[in-house]
Amino acid sequence: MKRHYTKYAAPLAALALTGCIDDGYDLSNIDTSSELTFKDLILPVNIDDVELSDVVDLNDNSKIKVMEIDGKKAYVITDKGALSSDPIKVDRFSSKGAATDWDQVRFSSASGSGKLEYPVSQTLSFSFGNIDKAIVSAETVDCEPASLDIIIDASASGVPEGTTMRGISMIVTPGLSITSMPEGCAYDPDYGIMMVDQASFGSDGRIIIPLHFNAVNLVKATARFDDSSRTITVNSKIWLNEATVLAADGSELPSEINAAMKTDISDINVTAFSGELNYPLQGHGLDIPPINLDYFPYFFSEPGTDLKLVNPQLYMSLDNPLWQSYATIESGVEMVANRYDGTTATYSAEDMLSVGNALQDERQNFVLSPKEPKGADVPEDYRRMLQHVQFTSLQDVLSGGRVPYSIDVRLKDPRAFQRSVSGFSLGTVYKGIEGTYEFFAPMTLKNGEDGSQIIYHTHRTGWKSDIAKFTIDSLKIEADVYSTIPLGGYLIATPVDSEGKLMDVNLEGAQVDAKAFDQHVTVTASGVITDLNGIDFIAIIRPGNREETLGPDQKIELKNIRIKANGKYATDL
Amino acid sequence: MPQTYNLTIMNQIGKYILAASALAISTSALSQNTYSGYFLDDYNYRFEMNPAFGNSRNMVSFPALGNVNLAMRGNLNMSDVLYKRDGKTVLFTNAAVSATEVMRKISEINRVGAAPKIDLLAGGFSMWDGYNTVAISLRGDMEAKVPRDFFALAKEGITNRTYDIHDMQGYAEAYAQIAFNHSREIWEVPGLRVGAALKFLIGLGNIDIRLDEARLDLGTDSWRARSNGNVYASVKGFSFKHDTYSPVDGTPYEYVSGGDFDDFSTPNGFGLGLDLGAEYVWNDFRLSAAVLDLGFIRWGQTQWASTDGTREFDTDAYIFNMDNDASNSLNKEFDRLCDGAAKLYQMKEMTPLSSRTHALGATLNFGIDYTLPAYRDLHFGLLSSTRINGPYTWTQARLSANIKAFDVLSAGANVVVGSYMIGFGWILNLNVPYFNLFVGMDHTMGKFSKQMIPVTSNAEFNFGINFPF
Repeated sequence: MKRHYTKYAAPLAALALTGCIDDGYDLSNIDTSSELTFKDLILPVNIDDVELSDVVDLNDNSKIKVMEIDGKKAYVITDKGALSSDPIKVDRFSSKGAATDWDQVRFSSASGSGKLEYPVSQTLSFSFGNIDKAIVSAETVDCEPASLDIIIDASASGVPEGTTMRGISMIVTPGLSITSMPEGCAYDPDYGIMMVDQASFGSDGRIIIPLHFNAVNLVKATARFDDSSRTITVNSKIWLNEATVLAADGSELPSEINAAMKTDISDINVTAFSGELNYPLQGHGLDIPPINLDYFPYFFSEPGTDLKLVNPQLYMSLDNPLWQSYATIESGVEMVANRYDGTTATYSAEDMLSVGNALQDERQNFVLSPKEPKGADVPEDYRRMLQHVQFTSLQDVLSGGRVPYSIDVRLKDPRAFQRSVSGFSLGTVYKGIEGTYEFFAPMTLKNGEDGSQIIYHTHRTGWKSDIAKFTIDSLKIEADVYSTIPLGGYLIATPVDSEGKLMDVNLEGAQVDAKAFDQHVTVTASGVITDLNGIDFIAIIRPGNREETLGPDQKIELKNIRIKANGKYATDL
Repeated sequence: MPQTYNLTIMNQIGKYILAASALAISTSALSQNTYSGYFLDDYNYRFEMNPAFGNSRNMVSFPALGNVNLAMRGNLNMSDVLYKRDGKTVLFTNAAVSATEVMRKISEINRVGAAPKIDLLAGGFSMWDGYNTVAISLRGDMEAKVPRDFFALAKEGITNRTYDIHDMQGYAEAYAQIAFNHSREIWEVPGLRVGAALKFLIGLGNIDIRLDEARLDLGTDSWRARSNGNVYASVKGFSFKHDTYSPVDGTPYEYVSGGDFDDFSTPNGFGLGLDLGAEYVWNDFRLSAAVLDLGFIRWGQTQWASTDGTREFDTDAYIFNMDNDASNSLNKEFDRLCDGAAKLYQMKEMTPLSSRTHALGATLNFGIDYTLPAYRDLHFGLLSSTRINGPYTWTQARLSANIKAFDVLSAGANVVVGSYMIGFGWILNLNVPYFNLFVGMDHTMGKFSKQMIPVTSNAEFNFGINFPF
């Protein structure tokens, strides 16, 4: 019996139990998926102050530098360099020697003297060619020694040697600066009237009256300037009005004296001129390298960003190597913004740069800007004798749908110019102009309706995978904002899911004022957030009422950040 | 997000506790005291609940089957932690289980435990003017406590309040016991019977998991957490497992991630225990009182893992930077925050203790038995039992009706109320010459899972075969 009891004890016990098995409880196959909820849970978060230097990412190659203005660090677009032109040289020009034809001169002689029967007229033409284009007009030309010779040849009439001609009254080319002429000659450069007291026939039966000169007043000479052929032509009348031939002592004159007259003028090699000079300055040294904005900080470079600067400045310093000639160096200035879409925009200064002769060898400093900068803001190299040139449109040089990738700085029609240069030496090589430039644009953004706007977009993903397991039914973020940044903005944030897509939920309400102080900001989500992997946010930023220069030390502090959320966290324990 | 580090802490601690619970649930083995038989005539193991009780006959147990118990107790039931949804077994944290349904079942302190005991061999005999027993037993004790805040944190929805879960603890112990029991009448005081048992204990193993401090203060200005915990393992051959943690800043370090041991079969300590009891018969009343397991056990080499003091975590210490390149960028600072949170639960292995001594969990039993004068085979009993064991103390009161029929069959039915809810027990005892069979349940079992684990934590099945002579 004992064995029977022991044999069946366990099965009996099992039998007692098998009727009470609940298959719903299967410990070998427990579904451990779990959901943990949170209700109106406030999560306090601390966020580091966001300095502008954290957002404005400066590259070593960037033209935006950090400089000190009024004792504070500021962002400034800066670029500088030197410029120079090729040497200045206005070429010499000359005229080839010319002569009139022989014209008959008749004297009727009686009682040992012969009077000119009638005036003789000749036309002497000579022409200066290859006149340098820089010469707009010439009033006088200085030249190497030249001569105008009047030749009267009476050899055919057998006039004996020693016969003289007296009381010669002529009109020759006016405007000559006579350096020497025969004794007894008088020459009036205004009209070309020449009076010769007496001239003797030589053994060859000729009288030569030379007029040596070293300059010609082309105005008086009624020269004609032909711009197209770059020539100056002088057509002057040579008149022999009166003359008396007298026999030498002990000789007799022929009854008729038939002579011939000719006027020769030698080559005239011009060495200087007075007149209007307009010398276009040239040379690769005038090609200012573009201001490269390729490495502009991303914060300012997004499409939609429109930067208008309050007072960008272009400093230039130029000398005048022609100051002694009273020529002026002049130039217009323009800046061309080259945009990524292939278009360009040109901005020109209203006034021109002009360097006279007052500073002699010193350079003239210029600042081209919308407003004249304060003395302390001017770079030290340009403070002396600084002259302001109005350049209003420079404010918009960065403007457009996006910051341009480069800005060309161009001297527009630079020239050495003078309406009445005097004694300008031709053939002399003057050194070219030399100068420097510096583009100095503090990042002070213009406010107002037509002011600046920055679109800042950032897309951050790759958050911890645990975060994706949260489902946030409602979300509210509050914070107190303290800001020293003179920019205010409106922020729209959109959660991003694990596939990188933007969710159909917005976080709105983040309107932060420029230089906010203890501004309470509340952001709420417009819907349910799931599968969160990152955030995409767009900030539309505009300058505040006070236009201040942006600097790296400016910051925004978020204090008392509280994230209040309802939702759940799904996981598998 | 912070819930991840909350969950990480909860994951680790919860895993320990649930493992302990599962261990307790799954251990479901072998005998412990059958309180339904405390007042039952001819129940041969009454002496184990009060050493003053003796048997009317000599007896020897069936080896290993003399006193079999499948027993566990607690107020945290499987059905409180696991639920049936759409044909699946899910955790209470499943979205398909409502917070109301879960929290309705959760007490302020939730406990589950088991105290398995196997009498390898027992015998009783009359000699020396009394009754004597010798029993060789294997005993174990497993307990786990989970505070309500743990469930509230996991289920009610995390809010900005303080969660104090330092009451979360686990404990397991096993030792062998050789007990010598003698009881006798005190002739000088008629009706008085006294008894005592001396127990020699051989420790097999002890694991004690304690959270002295575990607190989450989720304020609106900052979140703070504190933890201070220790794990003691006095098991021969036990070693902690380690994982390496690589923090964002700093040198990788090792932390205790688990433990390895084969079983609780190699002695690692010794102890002494004493049972004292008395019974006084007065008219139709039998008054009894006993204190069991007064004593101590001294464990040998003890492996020790600890947080080494209080670990603290404060969200104020973490400041995020929106710049991805900053040393405290969003991702890097979040990693650092997780590192800080991880330290709350990552224990390090300390220098092992050469020994560790603690008192045994004593049990107090007080009973009143009343025999119905009109039918003397029927008597009613009221038994109060209290186990004093520090954080694992429990108490119960059992009201029973017991009857003896035909001299060979005795039976009892009882209702019990106590730390582990309300239950119903019963026992049947067949006592024929040279053969005794008893079967009973101190807590009548309800349903079982597929793996034969009781759905409610209060379940006991008692069974034994003995040979009286």
